[in-house]
Amino acid sequence: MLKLSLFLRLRLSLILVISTALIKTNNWSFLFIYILIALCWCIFLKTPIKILLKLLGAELILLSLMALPLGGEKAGFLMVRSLICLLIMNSFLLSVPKYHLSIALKGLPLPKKMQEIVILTGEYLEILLLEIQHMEISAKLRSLNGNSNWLRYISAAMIGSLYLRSLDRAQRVYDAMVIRGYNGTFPLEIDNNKSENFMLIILSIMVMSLTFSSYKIWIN
Amino acid sequence: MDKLDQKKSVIITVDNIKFDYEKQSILQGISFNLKAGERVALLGRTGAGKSTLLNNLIGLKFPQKGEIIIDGLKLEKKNIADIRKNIGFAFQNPEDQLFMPTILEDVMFGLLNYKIPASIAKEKARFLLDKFGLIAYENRSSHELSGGQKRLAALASILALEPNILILDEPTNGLDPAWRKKLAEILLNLPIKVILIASHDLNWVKKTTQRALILDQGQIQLDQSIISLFQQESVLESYGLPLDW
Repeated sequence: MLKLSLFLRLRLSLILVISTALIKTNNWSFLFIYILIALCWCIFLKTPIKILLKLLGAELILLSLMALPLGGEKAGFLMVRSLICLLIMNSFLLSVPKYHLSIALKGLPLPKKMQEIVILTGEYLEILLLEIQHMEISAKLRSLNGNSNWLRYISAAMIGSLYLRSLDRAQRVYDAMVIRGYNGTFPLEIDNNKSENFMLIILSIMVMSLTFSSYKIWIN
Repeated sequence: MDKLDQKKSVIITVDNIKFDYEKQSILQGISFNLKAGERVALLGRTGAGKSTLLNNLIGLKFPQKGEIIIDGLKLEKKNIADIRKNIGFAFQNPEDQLFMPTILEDVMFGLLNYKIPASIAKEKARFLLDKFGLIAYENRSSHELSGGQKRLAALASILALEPNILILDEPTNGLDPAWRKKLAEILLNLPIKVILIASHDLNWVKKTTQRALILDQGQIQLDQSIISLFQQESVLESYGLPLDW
């Protein structure tokens, strides 16, 4: 089976999301085509369906709160379109191996400074998640329970502790960077795979053509 | 050896440095020299100021009094970049040192900062990872490595810059005996002029260093050969360093 690199998967997901977002409003037939594409993408990435459904369910509640006030057909269309975008992005995110998020973020086609920020943020999020996991395990091992006031207090204490730990950690990481010659510019080396880039261009053209044809600009 | 030669072989000179932090005197007049070819252990109980002293040596903190001369250069803000090129510093927690998306990029980080061409930096980084048995992990995140592997990856990221001086803060923290042995073997074969190791792991420093400095109450209380120090168990205990514990 065709194996795509993390970068290509990220870029393709983004292109699909952008193309979906640009479909002409109320053009249901094209939306249906994108539903099929999103489902194929989800199957191709071997996304764990149970987790995906849970995520989509939670996101759908939030989406409906925002879209329903628009009323009727428009809200329906917007919700389905957003759901397709979420399906594509969630499928990608769930297919990223643990701790590989910041590796994947390298594939974002952004200006260098922005890319530095995104990568460091990705790395920071992974560290935060690890810290949260450690705290959760530690609390569980000491049989965390009690009334809601107590649990709120514990959550607040954990968030505070997380903040202090992350500050401390950030200082030490910065020191480590400075010692190895960091002078404000992050040295990033991104491998450019020519065949993958070519594939990306071809697929982008195909997908964008599909989206633009939803406006029927080719017909006349 | 004449006087000139003796002076030449001194790589690090610490002269009467004093460092206060929040009105508390951490270092109170520390002086010592480290000569080429020496592997030195910096010992002392927790909170004795070992990490503060190391941070002063690398210019992460500056002493309020006294001076530090490294490889003939006085440690000052204006020449800190030149001095740091010469010093490899390993933090107590290797995770602090591994912040790039992949291990390979972590090892390349310093080289690219010093404008080494990417292809050469990559080749050098891969060579070091191969030497440390981490080549299979080159495109993985540091979070996927074991404690020992993280320690070696952090060491590789430092050694890539080919420093003359290596300073290690608690390098055996969290390592099992096999990894401690491996780390010792690697350190003993490094082509580095001076190695300074701050540690509580007495048995390990006994095997890896030749000289010991004991830091207590903000001062160097003892400076002698590691062999003779280990023959004085009561001295070690008096500085909060009991053997076999």
